[in-house]
Amino acid sequence: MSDTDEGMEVESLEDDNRPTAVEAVSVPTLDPTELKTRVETVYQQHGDELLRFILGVVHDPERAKDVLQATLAKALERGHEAHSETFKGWLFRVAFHQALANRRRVKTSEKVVRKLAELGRAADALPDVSMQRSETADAVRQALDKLPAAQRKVVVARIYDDKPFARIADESGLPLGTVLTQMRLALDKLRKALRSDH
Amino acid sequence: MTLATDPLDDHGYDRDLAWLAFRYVAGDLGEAQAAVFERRLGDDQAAREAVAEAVMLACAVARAAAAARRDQSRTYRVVLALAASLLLAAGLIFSQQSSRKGTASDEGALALTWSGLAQDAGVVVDPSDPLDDTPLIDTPDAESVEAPPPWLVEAAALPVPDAAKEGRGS
Repeated sequence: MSDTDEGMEVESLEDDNRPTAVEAVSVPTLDPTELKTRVETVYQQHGDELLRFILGVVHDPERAKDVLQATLAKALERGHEAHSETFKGWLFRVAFHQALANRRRVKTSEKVVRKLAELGRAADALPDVSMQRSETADAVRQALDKLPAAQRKVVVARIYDDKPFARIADESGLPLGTVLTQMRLALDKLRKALRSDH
Repeated sequence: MTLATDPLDDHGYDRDLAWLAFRYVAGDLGEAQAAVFERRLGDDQAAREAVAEAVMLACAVARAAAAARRDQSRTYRVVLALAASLLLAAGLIFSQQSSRKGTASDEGALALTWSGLAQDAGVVVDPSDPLDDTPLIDTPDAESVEAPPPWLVEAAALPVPDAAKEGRGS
């Protein structure tokens, strides 16, 4: 599903502050109370997912929280510009641009965290939003246990030990292509477990 | 091992997109690929949701692996503690036995030596007799022979080990 298909404009990724087409279009003004309710509703429904998405872009829990706050502020300020049926997509897009802007600001001053294992710890550092229900974690753990040993090794080595695929291939004596295939197959299975739990 | 050719899974989910999103989150995409994907993120909600799911998956796996390692480590610690306890217990038992054996063999050796000396010197040792004025030595120069200390008497009264007897006999 594309935002453009839904009639939403595409902002420039390079200039976050540039006025967008939507700003120039007159939109029906939404009552502030109604807008607040809409933002709250969407946040309750998709807040976790939104935060995970932001975390995937900025890779830092503190900055993810900042971006989320900025996104919600923007939603309250300009949420009336989005159609209610595409409000989730609009909110995610705003979050994405906020995340990119934040990343650009930070990249010059500090190193962006890139480790996947640290991402797991980052999720734990966000107590405001429950990243996962314990049943979800259990489902993934069970799915992980059920994986063939070779696939499980690759998944743990890549995600938990944060080893690059080339090193995993080197250490296991397997071709890189095989390791990548094992990872893909394993992720498919884990994702299915994750989805069936939802 | 082959990958499914259909990019969509049973639930209509795009496997290729999921893989791309995972590689983006993992930092495995090159700069150019990441830039292309980020352009896509600008207007593709499915791609954004795929990123959110990749993060969720990575977090869940990291937690599961951490928990598994913790369990493993706990098991190792329990096994290690158990092994250490067993080792300690075995050591204590061994040292006690060794101490007893050592005492017995020391006492045996002493008794053996004393018995030998006593026999050579004609000393009669009877531990059942009180150590009183009764002369222990019935040789004419008995007075000049010093009576053995009580502990030595006790030691001398201990049964002589067979091996020692054999040694003596040879």
